[in-house]
Amino acid sequence: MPQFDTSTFASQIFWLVVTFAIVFVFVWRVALPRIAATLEDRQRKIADDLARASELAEQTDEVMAAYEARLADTRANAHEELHAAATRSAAEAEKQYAALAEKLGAETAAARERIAAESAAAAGNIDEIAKDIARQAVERLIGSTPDAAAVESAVAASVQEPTS
Amino acid sequence: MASPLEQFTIEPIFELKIGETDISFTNSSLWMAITALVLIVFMVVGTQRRAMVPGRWQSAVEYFYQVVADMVRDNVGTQGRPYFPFIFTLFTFILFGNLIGLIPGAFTFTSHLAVTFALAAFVFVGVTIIGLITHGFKFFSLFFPHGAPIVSAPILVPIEIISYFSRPISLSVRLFANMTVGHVLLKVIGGGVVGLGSFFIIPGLLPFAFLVAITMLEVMIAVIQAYVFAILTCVYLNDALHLH
Repeated sequence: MPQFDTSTFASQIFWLVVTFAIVFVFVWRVALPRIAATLEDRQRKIADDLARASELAEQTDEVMAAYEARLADTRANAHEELHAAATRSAAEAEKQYAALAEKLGAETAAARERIAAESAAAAGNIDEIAKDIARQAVERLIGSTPDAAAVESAVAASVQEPTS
Repeated sequence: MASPLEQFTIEPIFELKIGETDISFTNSSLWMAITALVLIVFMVVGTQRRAMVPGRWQSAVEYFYQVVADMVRDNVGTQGRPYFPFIFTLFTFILFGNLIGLIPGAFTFTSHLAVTFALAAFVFVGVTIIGLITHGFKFFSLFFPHGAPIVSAPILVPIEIISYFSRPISLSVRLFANMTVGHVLLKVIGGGVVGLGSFFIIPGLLPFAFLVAITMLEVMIAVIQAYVFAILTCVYLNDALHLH
């Protein structure tokens, strides 16, 4: 078996040491530091990106909270304003209603007064008309003008009688 | 037909001597150099761009890094950090040597006991020195299991010492035997393919299918043996650094 031929051992071990040493020095000095640096860079980049992402998410949350607070504030304000406007307009309406009612009341009273005055005047006129009618009727019936005083008393008497 | 062991013959490419010692550059040396070159090219290409999002080569190199880094961290802990470059080299060198050796016509330098024993002996001596430097005389408590009754010492201590000194042997023989047997098997079955196939095409197909399957198995063994060598080195290192 060639594996047990001791004459080749020295050469094998010598070249093993040479080649292995070359690879070892290369791996130790060049390859591994490079790979480690690359891996570290990547790790750092990933960590940085994650940190930034979480920071941005936090900022978003903050902005969102501010927006929400603002919205709630505005909503409350609007509500208040609406309420105030409603109160104001209700008061205004009440005032206007009162004023109108007052005016209408005054007008009604004036109209009533006028009606009373006119009906009183009308009542006074009825006497005259009755006298006139009575005189003319008598004149037509009997052909002579009755005495004014007699007509007056007769009319007064019949007006005062609560007939019908 | 050539012997299945012929593939392991070491032939000098050019002669070289230091004093009386023959250190000729051989086919074994050539494939060690090719392995070293492939490994270096692989890592140069894989670390050239250093992209944030790695390409295929970079992914492969980083994958090796992660596998070995995890291996060292899981088996040795943070104290294993300084030995990471050595274990990385050990793993990749054996792995690439095994895999390149599977290319038909290539020479598998890890199928030679001299190579595997040199690696194992280096690991063994290195780990023992690290243990002695870290713990001084307390290092020898490694030969007595913690918490065992003192009466059992005369039995346990020799067993532990034998098991400790058999480490480089088991480590080197495991790799050497796996590689040698695998290649002998491939050669024998390959010979069967040629023998039966030249006789008539159909009977040659069966050993050929078998050869394909065995080749896949050998690829798996090449990876597993490199991994086992590296992980046992980690385990020994852990013993030396943390005792029991």
